[in-house]
Order: sequence, then structure tokens, then C-alpha cells
Amino acid sequence: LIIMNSVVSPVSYSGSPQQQEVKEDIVSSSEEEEEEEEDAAADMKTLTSGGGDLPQEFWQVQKLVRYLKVGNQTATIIALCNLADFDLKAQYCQVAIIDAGGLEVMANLLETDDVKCKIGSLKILKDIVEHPDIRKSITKMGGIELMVQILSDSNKKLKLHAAESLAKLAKYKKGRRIVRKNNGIPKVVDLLDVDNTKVENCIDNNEVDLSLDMQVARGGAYALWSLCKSKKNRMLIKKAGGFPLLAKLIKSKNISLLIPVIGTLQECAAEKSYCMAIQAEGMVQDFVSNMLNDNIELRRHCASAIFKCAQEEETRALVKSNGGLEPLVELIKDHSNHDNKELMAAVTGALWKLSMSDDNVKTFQELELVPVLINLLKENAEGLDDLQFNLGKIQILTNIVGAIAESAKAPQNRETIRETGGLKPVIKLIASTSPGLLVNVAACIGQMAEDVETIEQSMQTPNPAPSGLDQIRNLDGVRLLWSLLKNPNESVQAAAAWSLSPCIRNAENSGDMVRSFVGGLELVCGLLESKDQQVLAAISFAIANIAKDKENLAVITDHGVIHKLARLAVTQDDLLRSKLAEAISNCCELETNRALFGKAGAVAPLVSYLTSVDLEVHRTTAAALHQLSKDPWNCVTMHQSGVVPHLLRLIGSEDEAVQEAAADCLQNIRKLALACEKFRYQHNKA
Amino acid sequence: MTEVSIMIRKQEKKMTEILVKKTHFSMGEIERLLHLYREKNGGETDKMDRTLFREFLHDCFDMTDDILMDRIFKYFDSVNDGCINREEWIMGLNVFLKGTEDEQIDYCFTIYDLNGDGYISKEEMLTMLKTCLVRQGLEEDGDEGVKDLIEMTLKKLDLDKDGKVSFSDFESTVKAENLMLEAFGPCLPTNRTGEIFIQNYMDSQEG
Repeated sequence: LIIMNSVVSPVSYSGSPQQQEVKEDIVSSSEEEEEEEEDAAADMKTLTSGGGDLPQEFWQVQKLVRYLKVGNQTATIIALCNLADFDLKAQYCQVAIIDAGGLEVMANLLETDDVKCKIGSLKILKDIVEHPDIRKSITKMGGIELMVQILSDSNKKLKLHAAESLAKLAKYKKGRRIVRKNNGIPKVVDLLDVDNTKVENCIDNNEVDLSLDMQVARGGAYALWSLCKSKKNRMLIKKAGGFPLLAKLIKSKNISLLIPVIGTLQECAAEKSYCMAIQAEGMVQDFVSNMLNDNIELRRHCASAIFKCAQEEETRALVKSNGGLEPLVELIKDHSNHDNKELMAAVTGALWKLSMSDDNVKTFQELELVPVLINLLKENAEGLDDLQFNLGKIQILTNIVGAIAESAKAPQNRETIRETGGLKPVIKLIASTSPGLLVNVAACIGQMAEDVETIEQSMQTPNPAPSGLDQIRNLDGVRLLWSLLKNPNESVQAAAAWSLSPCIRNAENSGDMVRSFVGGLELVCGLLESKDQQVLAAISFAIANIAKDKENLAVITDHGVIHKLARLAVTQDDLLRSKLAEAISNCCELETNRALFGKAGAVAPLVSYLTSVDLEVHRTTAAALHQLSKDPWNCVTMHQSGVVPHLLRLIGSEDEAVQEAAADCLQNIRKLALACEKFRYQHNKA
Repeated sequence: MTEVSIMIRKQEKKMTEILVKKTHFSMGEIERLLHLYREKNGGETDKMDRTLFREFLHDCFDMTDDILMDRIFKYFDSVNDGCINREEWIMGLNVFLKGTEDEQIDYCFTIYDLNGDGYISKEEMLTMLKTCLVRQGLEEDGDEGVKDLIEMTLKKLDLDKDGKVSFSDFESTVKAENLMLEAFGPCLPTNRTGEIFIQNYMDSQEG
């Protein structure tokens, strides 16, 4: 299912955050999916409904179950061995066992003292629990508890088979919970505890399987892989000391062992604590080196692991320094991989997150990644109608667009996107309903809106494509982006709002353009009532840009924007503060607004912004105070709020604009003070 | 100590030295097993008869199957003189308690090959498994279930398809599925009885 960790940085304005959580209502693990996706399993009715005879094997299986019931220990063993020869994954086999009442026997065998009977039973259970009814019955009979108990036995073969069966049963939420409640996690973790020498001696050979100790470790790893789909289990695994053991095993060269180990790690990397530990332990290198392996499944898990760990800046740098960028690009360039949807999702995801670092973007540029991404996008974006239900495809598209958006921070990439027609498929995706995808689409458009035609450009290339912003406008992108403000998901609203600002700021005839969106300004003002900090900051910033046009400023003033902004002024959040101040500052171009802000109580809170340590806050607040100080009453308020020492400090700022704004503000206050003095003097005289 | 017993002790020491090279045991373990032999044998130095041996199997390893216990006796009694001397005792226990996988496969096959002709036949299987299923009471031919089970098992074991199980058939099957080692009945110690025995009789008692 979709992994929604974070979103690409919305267009990197100073002060805008690098990441934000995409708010999702659905759980991000694969838990929910399993319970729903089960096909109706075959039962007696479906088997006989075809009208045909049941295969001979069906009856033989049933006979063997009967012998199990009435046999002594010897007969039991023989019957179990004979049963194991049948195709236990075949539904007729599973139904035969159910119908003959075999499950209870199997469960009872797990309670005996007899090691061979237990092993024989586990070997069969491992395969037949794939049938949902069997899984549920065995669970109800307490089978999982019994298996967890068996993990404490000293017999290695017994532990191995118990672990393998648990791995199957723990694929489901209920199974995971039962294992956890029965203190099973530390026991499974213990299975991975092998000698270092044993790990090193693990040869990678199809002929010879691993030693028994390593087989046990492998079985344990498979069990952990299933168990760690639950967040609680992930934390318990760490607590039980599972991480260092996984770190030891990852050094092995044996693929059959690496797959469950790395599979587990990439699943656990949903937790930040794991990402940090992976980074510290030097395991990023192992992911990278194993990505060069021929085994496609192994490469996929490595790419997934990198996808999740690349949240962390240091990991992103480590991937690059360990030579991890090239193999990823290679994987995506190889067309034979394009049908492997899971692989594509993992690789595109990794490329997306890695692109959050500028250093990596540079390398990707040299490897000519962006054109490949755009082609991949076009490939995957076909057939939009069934898109909504194809979750796998949505994940891939989200990742690709995310990667393109991050890449578009670099001007050269913007040029590539512009020239190769990358915008059209992106904008088309606005029709999607997936919040994660929409956030990235918005971010991408926002970045491309910085691509404005310069005279140099039009002189250099003979027939340049229209600028990014022009293309966006031609494709109705700005209006579509604006419509995303109506999306119920707050992350989408915020992303759209952030991205609208460059569109508004850079567009020719910006004022007309904005006015052309019916109800657009009202919509924007309405969002000032949102409860979400990101939305508020983004909208404030958009308003700051909208207000640069006199007519539009008048319109939003009519919509009551002054009061709405003023109401927000008490915020402690620095990001919101800086954008709010900018909006207020620009709104003061309309003289009457200055007094309105004062009356609405915006001035005093603004003064307190100057206690923040954020330089961006200082810059915009100084400008806002300057504008507000053109109204005398505001000067009084400011003075009473103790603004003067702050302004004096700001005059010494490195930023020239801040110096000037502070100085001018102070001057206005002084002028007023002087006028007061004069008035009082004259009054007293009279 | 009498002269005779001194001589016997000297003789045993020599035997122990030879046996240590032929078995998986250590000197100390062999000494203690010889001591046990004396105990179980009621003092008799060199001939343990079938009855005493079967008592030993029953007491220490919970064995109850007459046919198999008989076969085990025959295996131990390699010179086939109707009793087990000290050397046969040690050599037998060597495989019985500490046999490698190959040694145990060889051992089990010998046990199950009732007439010693190099094959386990269907009839032999029937003899050993006669009572393995609880009688249902109403069945006319009470052996039907057993015969059916034997049929399936034969198919599984008889790799060269000649209707009987040769040593190589048996060996290959067991190597692929270790649970089949004692397919026709328990003739080796279980994990538990083996461990207890080793603890009680073979480990050095010095604490």
C-alpha cells in the first residue's frame, strides 16, 4: 500500500519548511489491505460445484488425516511424511484436510512432547495456513501460542519450523497481535543470534543450503519480516535487541538470508529511530552494495530501504558517497524493469527522496535522469480513469512527480522539463484524487513557475519552448492549481497555495490573471479560517503576492482579509509569522488598511515577533511595522508595546532592507512623539 | 582386589584403548559405560543375555516394542552368539547414542530388515506396523488401514520401483526427509531419553 511519509519541499521559499507530513486518513502500513483483499477461498461447495469428480489425491489426503487420528506415534510420523508429499498449497488439498477434521489433530500434535510429531505437523501447517479458513481455525485453536512456546525449545529444527509457520501466520494483524501478547517477539529475535564466524562463512551456493544455525536465523528473519508490519512490534523488536543482530546478518553474502533481513529493515525504516540507527551503524553501505546484486528482489528491497531512510540528510549524502546513485539510475533506465511495478515504486521513491539534496541533484543531472523520469511519467500516466483504483500505479506516479519536482529546483532541469514537454502529463494528474500525488504535482508546478523567459534564453536557443510559467498557463495549470484549494485534504491545500505564489508573482498581467478565476479571491480569503498551520502560512504568502496588485487588494479587503489576518497575528509559529507579516506589509499599500489593522489588534502581536530568533521573521516584520507606522495611532500602540529597543537592535542588522525599514519605522514614531510634545506644550501654554 | 579382578581391569583398560579409536566416545565415557554394563549385567563380566538387555532398553529408553527390541539385540550381538559382550556393548551404544547420520541410517535399515536379506519388504513392514492404527472395531479386515498406509509409504521409499526398499532407497529418502529415519518404529533414543542417559551414565560425576 502507499507509503506516505513526507512530501517534497514545496517551492523553497526562505522560511518554507523542507518537509511536511501528508495527512492521510488511511493507515500507511499494509495491515488494512490484507483483511480485505482475500479472495473467497475454496471450500467443499466450490470444489464440488464444478460437477467434476474430486481428484484422487483428495481422498488420499483424507485417508491420511484419518490415520493421523487413529495412529500411534509411528503411524503419525509416517502419515505426516506422506501428507507432506502432496501439493499442500493446492486448494483441494487444504479443503480435504479441513473437511476431514485434520486441523485439530495438527494443533494437538503441537502440544505433545514428541519432537518429530511437532516438526512433522509444523511442516504441513506452514503451507496449509495460506488458506484463510485454516489460518483462522488454527489461530482460534491457539496454534500461534503453541508455536511461540515452541520457540523456547532447545531443538534447532523445531525452532526453525515454528519460525517458518509463524512467518506465515504473522502476515495478518491478528496473528501479529497474538505473537506480541504472548511475548513472542524477544523469542523470535533470539533466533537471529548467531556467531559472527558463522555469518562470514555463509557461502552463496545453490547446491548447499545454509548450516542449521543460519537456517534458524533465516527462519527468524522471515518471521520478523511479517511481524514488523505492526508499529508496536517494530518498537518491541528494537527493544529486544533485534537491530544489532540484523546489523550482523546483513554482512552475509548469502542471498536467501539477505532477502528477509533487508526486507525486515526496509519495513522497520518507517520508524525514524531505525533510520537513525541504520545511518549510524553504516548499513547504508550494505544497501548500496547489495543493490548491485543480480537478484531483482534483493535490489528492490535495498531500493525500498533507501527510499525510507533517505528522509535523513546524512543518509542521502551517504548513499552518494557509497556510489548508490548510479545503480538506481541504471535500474530505472533499464526498460525490462518497467513492468515490475514494485521495483519501479521502490526505485522511483528512492530517487525522489535522494533528490532532496542538491548534491545528488547535480549528480543526477550528469546521469541525465530527468528525461528518463519524464518518459517514465508519460508511460505510466496513460489510462487515467482506472488510476484512482490502481494504488500501485499511484505510488509510482507520486514518486516520479516528486522526483521531478525536486529536480526542478535546479534551473538546468527546469529547462529540460520545459523543452521535453514534461509539464503536460504532470498537470493532467491534477484530476487524481490521491492527496500524496496531488501534493507533489502542486510542488512540481510551483517549481516550474519559476521558469520565466529571460531575454538571454530567447537569444540562446533558436526555437525555445515557451517558458515554464507560460506552458503552465497555456495548459490552464494555474486555474487547476487554484481549484486544488478546494480539496478536502489540508496538505493538498497547503501545497497548492505555496505553488500559487510563484505563479502570481512571476506572471505577466498577474492581476488580470488572478481576477479571471471566478471566486478565486474569496476562496483564498476563506482559507484564512483553516486550522492548519501550513495552510495558513501558505495562504498568507499567497495573499502577500496577490496584494501587490491594487485592484485585487481592494477586492480582498472587501472580503474582510484584514480582520482575518489580524486574528491570526497572535501565532507563535515562526513560519506563519513571517508570511503573515509579509501579507500585512503588502496590504498596507491601501492606506485605509493601516488603521484597520490597528483597530483589529494586529499591531501589538507583531511587535512580539521581534523576540523571535528567525531572521526571516525580522525582515518581514520590520517591513510590516514600517508600513503600519505610517498611521499615527499604530505608532502609539507600537510604542506602548515596547517596540523601540527592538527597532534599535534591528537598525544594526546585516540586512540592508531590515536596517532601512527599522530606521523608517523608528523615524515615524519619533515624528509622532515630537508632534505630541509640541501639542502638549502648546496646550499647556494656553 | 582379587588377582582375577586385577587381570580383568587390565584387560578392560586395553580394550578401552582400542575402542576409543573405533568409536565417538572418550576414555572416560567408555569406562563409565563399562561400569554400567557390569551393573546391568548383575555382575557378570562378559555375557549379557537378551532378557537383561531388553530390560535395559525398557528402563533407560522407555522402549516397549518387542519386535524392534529383539532386532536391536541382534544388531548389538554382532558375532551372533546370543549374548552381548563388553565390546559389542560399546560398539552398539556408539551408534545408538552417538551415531552420525550415515551410521544411524545404516543402523535403522538393519533393524527394519527383519530377515537380513538387504531389503525391507511389504511383509516385514506389515509385521512391524501391525498395531500402529487403533482398530475401528467394525472393520472386517482390520489390517486394511495399515496395508493402505504401508502401500503409500512403500511408494514413497521405493525409489527404484522394484516393490521393496533397498538400502539405497532408504538412505536417499531419509537424507531428503529426516523424519523417515525411524519410519517403522522407534529404535533410537528420543532427544529426552538420550540426554538423560548421557547425563546420568556418561557424564563425569565429579561435581
